[in-house]
Amino acid sequence: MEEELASAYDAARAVLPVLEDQAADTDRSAEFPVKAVDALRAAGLMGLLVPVEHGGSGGDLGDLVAIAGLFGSRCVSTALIWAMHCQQVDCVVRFGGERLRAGLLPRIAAGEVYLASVTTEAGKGGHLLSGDAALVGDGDQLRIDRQAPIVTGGGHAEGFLVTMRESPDADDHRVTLCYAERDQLTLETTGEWDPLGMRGTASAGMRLRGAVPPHQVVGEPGGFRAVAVESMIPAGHLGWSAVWLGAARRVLSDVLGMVRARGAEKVSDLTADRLARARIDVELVASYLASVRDEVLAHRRAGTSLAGMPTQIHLNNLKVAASELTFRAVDGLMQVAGLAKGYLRDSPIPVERVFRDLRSAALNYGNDRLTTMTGALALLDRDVTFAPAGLL
Amino acid sequence: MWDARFEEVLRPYLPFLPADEPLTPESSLRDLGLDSLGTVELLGALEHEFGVRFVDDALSLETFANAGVLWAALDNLLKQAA
Ligand SMILES: Cc1cc2nc3c(=O)[nH]c(=O)nc-3n(C[C@H](O)[C@H](O)[C@H](O)COP(=O)(O)OP(=O)(O)OC[C@H]3O[C@@H](n4cnc5c(N)ncnc54)[C@H](O)[C@@H]3O)c2cc1C
Repeated sequence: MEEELASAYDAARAVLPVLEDQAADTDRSAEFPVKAVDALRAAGLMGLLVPVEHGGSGGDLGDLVAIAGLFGSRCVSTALIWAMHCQQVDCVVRFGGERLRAGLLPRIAAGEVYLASVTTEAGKGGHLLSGDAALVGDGDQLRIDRQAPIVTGGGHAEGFLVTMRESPDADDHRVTLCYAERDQLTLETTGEWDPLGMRGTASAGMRLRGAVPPHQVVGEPGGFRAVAVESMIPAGHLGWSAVWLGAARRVLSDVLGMVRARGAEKVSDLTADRLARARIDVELVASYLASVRDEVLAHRRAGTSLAGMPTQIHLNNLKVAASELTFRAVDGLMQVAGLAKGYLRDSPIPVERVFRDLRSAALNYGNDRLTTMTGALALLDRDVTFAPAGLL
Repeated sequence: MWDARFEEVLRPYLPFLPADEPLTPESSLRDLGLDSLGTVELLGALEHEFGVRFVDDALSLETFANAGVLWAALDNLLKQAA
């Protein structure tokens, strides 16, 4: 492993106690975990995916998975904030123009720029590949005026990747992704943030108004689809699944510790069965995550597209399966932990908090949107190609 | 450029292409309104019309990027069958 990358792993392990210590307070307050994110900035971890020549660690999506899982085991909100930031960084690294990359990537690596994501929009809901508000050309600037109902860390981000309709007369699926600096925008917070879980993501709604120069377009104008297929979706589904898996594994580990600590008391068959079920669920997610990670990494190494039907299906299935199975595992573990250790907020183990956090997973890009798409894609893969393809 | 039957089968799946506007190889099928379920139906319709079976291995989101790429994929199958 390269030196930069090895030290990123060391740094990631070193910040774990910072993440752990603030997790309960962050959840209670529903405020952005400034201290934890500052620690990630200072440790150079915001630049995990930034190439070494731009001052980053030069990590790949496998490194994102490994570290997102570590963070997820300590504070799910902080972990998701970080994973989503890395997801945005991947888009800039792969699709940003030379000028944008040279200007922005070193600042990301230095921890000066945390990138938030603006894809959801009021009228179209979660649908990623369409846009309502349009970019308006104005001299040599592109004007933005957009409602964003849910922006993780929007109050603290130095930069935003925003999807916009390409122009006022473009069709609603001609979407342009553009980078906007905080000081290029006038930001208004719209609405409160008081959700069930993922409270630290501080994802209140915003209205963004401002203008950016054309070199801040990421990918081709109107060509967000390619950025989404090759970067935003794979990085997102891999990173989020790793966060959820890390969280579920942590709860399983804590509950196992709790049951073991009961000492000589006999473990009932019912408890054994419930522990086995949780173990099966997290193992399934872990193995599938590894398979899909390898499939994506192999394509990237070979320089081939991720647009093949089986790969698209696998990426969708990963997100749906990880969101459902990790939540189911923690739900079952709450039954094992019981009222005092499982259901109460002040339990020494965070079953209740992670349960609430993981309930968001099926909504964080709606599973319904993915399964309806996957069903259509499945009809185009009558061979039922597995990840890994050579298994049977 | 392509078999007239190809365009006949394809057009109904492109709601944003006016009847009097030409379809070119560069025409983006997605821009013209082809969605993912439409894609499945379209493939079925092409297979039926031309008596071929697409090899799923060779399909990708790119196969449906524009009319030219889709025709090339179909033409390839027709040549193999001939
Ligand atoms: C913790 C968290 C952080 C987030 N951070 C961000 C962020 O930083 N930036 C951002 O842009 N977004 C963010 N989101 C938003 C997220 O990506 C989704 O867009 C959003 O959660 C979807 O909300 P929705 O369920 O209302 O929308 P939709 O997906 O539009 O769904 C609306 C309704 O339609 C139903 N539905 C959808 N498709 C179908 C279908 N084909 N058939 C039948 N029913 C269907 C759904 O079940 C749902 O009831 C975040 C979400 C969460 C939970």
